[in-house]
Amino acid sequence: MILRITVYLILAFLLIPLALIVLFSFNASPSFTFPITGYSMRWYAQIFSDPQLGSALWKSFWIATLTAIITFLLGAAASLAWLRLGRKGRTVLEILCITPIALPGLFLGVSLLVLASQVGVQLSMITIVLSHVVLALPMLMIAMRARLALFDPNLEEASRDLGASQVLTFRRVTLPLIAPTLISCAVLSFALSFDEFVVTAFVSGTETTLPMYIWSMMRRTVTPLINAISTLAMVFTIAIISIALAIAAMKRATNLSSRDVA
Amino acid sequence: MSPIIEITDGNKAFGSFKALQDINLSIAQGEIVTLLGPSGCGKTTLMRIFAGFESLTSGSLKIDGKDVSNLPPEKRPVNMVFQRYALFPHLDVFENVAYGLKVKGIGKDEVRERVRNMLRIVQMDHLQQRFITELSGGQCQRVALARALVNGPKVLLLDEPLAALDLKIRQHMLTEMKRIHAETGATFIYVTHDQDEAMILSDRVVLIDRGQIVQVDTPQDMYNRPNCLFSAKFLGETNILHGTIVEDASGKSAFRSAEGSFHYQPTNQIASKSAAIMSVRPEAISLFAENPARDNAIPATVTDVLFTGSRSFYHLVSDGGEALRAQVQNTPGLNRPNVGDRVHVCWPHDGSVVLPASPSH
Amino acid sequence: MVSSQKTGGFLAAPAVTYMVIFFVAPSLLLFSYSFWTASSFRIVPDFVLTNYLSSIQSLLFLKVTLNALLIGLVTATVSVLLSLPIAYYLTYVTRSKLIFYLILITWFSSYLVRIYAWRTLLGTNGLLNAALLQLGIISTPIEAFLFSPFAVGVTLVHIYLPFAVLMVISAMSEIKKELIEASRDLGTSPIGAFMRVVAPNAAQGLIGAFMLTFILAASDYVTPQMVGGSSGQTTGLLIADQFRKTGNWPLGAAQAFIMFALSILIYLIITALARASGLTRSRKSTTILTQDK
Repeated sequence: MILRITVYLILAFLLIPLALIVLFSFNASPSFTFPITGYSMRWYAQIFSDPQLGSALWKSFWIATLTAIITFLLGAAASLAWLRLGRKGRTVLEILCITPIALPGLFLGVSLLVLASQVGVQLSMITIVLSHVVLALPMLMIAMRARLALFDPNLEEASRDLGASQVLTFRRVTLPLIAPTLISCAVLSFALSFDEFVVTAFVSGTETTLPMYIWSMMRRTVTPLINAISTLAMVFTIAIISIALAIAAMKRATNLSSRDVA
Repeated sequence: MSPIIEITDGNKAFGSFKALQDINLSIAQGEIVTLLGPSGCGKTTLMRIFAGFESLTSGSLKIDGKDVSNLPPEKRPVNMVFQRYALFPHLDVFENVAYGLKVKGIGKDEVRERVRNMLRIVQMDHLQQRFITELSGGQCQRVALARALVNGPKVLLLDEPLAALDLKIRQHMLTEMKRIHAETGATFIYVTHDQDEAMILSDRVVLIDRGQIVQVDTPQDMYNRPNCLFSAKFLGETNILHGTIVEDASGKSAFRSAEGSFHYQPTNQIASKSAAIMSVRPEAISLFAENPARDNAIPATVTDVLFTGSRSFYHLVSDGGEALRAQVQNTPGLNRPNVGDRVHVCWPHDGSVVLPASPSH
Repeated sequence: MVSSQKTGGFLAAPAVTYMVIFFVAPSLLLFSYSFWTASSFRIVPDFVLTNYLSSIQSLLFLKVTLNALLIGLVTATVSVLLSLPIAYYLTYVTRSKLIFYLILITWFSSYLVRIYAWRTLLGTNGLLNAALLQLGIISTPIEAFLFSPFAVGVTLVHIYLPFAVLMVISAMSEIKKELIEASRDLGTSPIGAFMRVVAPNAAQGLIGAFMLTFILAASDYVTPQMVGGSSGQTTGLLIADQFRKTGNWPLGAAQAFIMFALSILIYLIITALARASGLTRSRKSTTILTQDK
């Protein structure tokens, strides 16, 4: 009982600030005080009349999409590799593709900035995408490693034994089994990139992504307009996470079965 | 008839580890052959070589008269039942069984017909739409068998297929396996470390130890006439006596140990005066309260009795200090000795096998 | 099979190449930068230790580094402590999907939004002050809520707690419930079972959660800056400013690697402490037990 109360208190701590953001985005007056005297959609209306914001949103969307696609492709190949490699190969893969998760964004941001300047590359949306993949790939690989540990290598052998070539085996057995995890991770990469700020701040040059735009607004003032943007961003994130979870739920069915059969 | 599988001078090494050495074996069409041996002896490696998942380091392998050394697994006329079934978790029962036919591009109607037919044979036709998660171990086993057999393999490879099942289902599946073998007529090669499965199921047993074939024989012959100490001990239980071969006054060979001299029916030639071992099966031993005044009788004391219903197992110590085991049928009315009783242990001439003591294996 | 190893190498190549170019190379480059010199906005390849030496001799640097480490340690400690009941609850009491999803959503909800949320909550005209005023507990707004170490701590815990919870859940999920039941059966209290069975087995995972939270929080330069005021000066901000404002990249690079070295040092200290307290030593024997099952 004490445990449950503690858990709910901690959840309240996590959720109430976010709930208040949402609540005050509908506040008619620009002040942040109770009681709320009236509700309005004026802040939301203001968002859609701000062309700068629209462009930032659009850029973030494209950056996140590209990040998700690149991460998916690299991660899919690396996951298939993981199934085929011996212990040494797996260690190399893990050191390169998982350890970056333990480094702070600041470190990755400045090192990528240094690389770009040394090579003489103009900072642009491309450098942002390339940097976001460095963040997203380790996250995907961690989830995939847990999934692949449950993958029975006999399944691929069984398929070969039944007459399917390597390519056919990949298409009919391996891919259907790992695809749900891969896709849900790619969707999460999208969410991660869409919200990324720390690394972006170093490698964006003059480009303004949505978080960069929110940041510049936040520094200037406190206005319910930010609440409205934040609320939309949160709704968007929840939608993305729900998609990822729905795909992952498909995964769970196959996950369980391979565990049972193994 | 030419053999369906023929492996000549087969060797397999993993780095410096010799997994298989000098393997020569030919298997006839329609046989059930068991590869039997302790874990790590190389039997699974041999089976994976047949399937094409491993290749020989040297030697040749022919399946149905054709050299298959360079054929990938998908091109070989063999199919495998995996130890943990390896059923595809994203497909239902029907789709699992249809998999091999579909990848070969066989027409829909024929696939349906053949899958249904095979599911009938393994008695799973009522569960076609089930997913693998919803099946019991025994049912998985049947699907795995059907999935392999539906392709009409020349050889069916079974890698310890019953290891994951519990005892009752295991015994039932053994009889089922015999029935399915009879119905399909395929050659079965069966890997196991369980001697009971091997003896119940096989036409011939291939006994493997440390990468080498020790003996190839019918289960009866291997049990009754093991060719070495390893065979004698691996199949069933046995009493091993150490001694030497001597010639008695009449010129007959006898086996002499600390317990005395024993007569036997020579099955193989062992030079006189050389060291030898004698293997006596527990069921060959009879117990007598009085000295029966026969050959091969030694006095002993009962140290333990294990009653198992139809039979009892006796643990004994001979007066010479040798620990012996005897298995006695519990016929009604028979007077059974108890712990501490003095008895005479006795076995007939043909109740023992004498083997050279040199550890050929 | 050899051929499958080859295919594996081929498939791994794109990801490996990518990470070599965009992770290993930049890290090495940054490391070499830390020995270079910057003069009048030009960066000159060199091999000097000046950047390191001047950093550790600078009182300001030492002060903000100490501040960053403190912020990191406090955030990590509080986050891991708070994540224990949640993780325990979700692993052993109820497998509530809703709670799990809520935590996942908070983790993925915008970083900046959460900083902003605490700014509006804690500010002079913020909700906390307004509430306290309305309740008559205070008569004038308390300015010290925002721009204080407290604000930094609360915000960072709010940001990194979901992450810690997810990590601790994954560490705990490897410990079977039967082990706790066995411990209870043998006469320990629930807390005793946690201390004697869960903690030693999850120790490695807990240390991992602590360290990652520590690294993220200690290097976070945005949150302290936004809600910490003058108490928000951290090494991260110093480093970031070198790369954005003053332009002494070599100095910034050296400071980044000092932070990096300090993180490793703290990791070593924590593992040593865990070993000394017997938390990680007993792990091996209990792992064998779980495998036997």
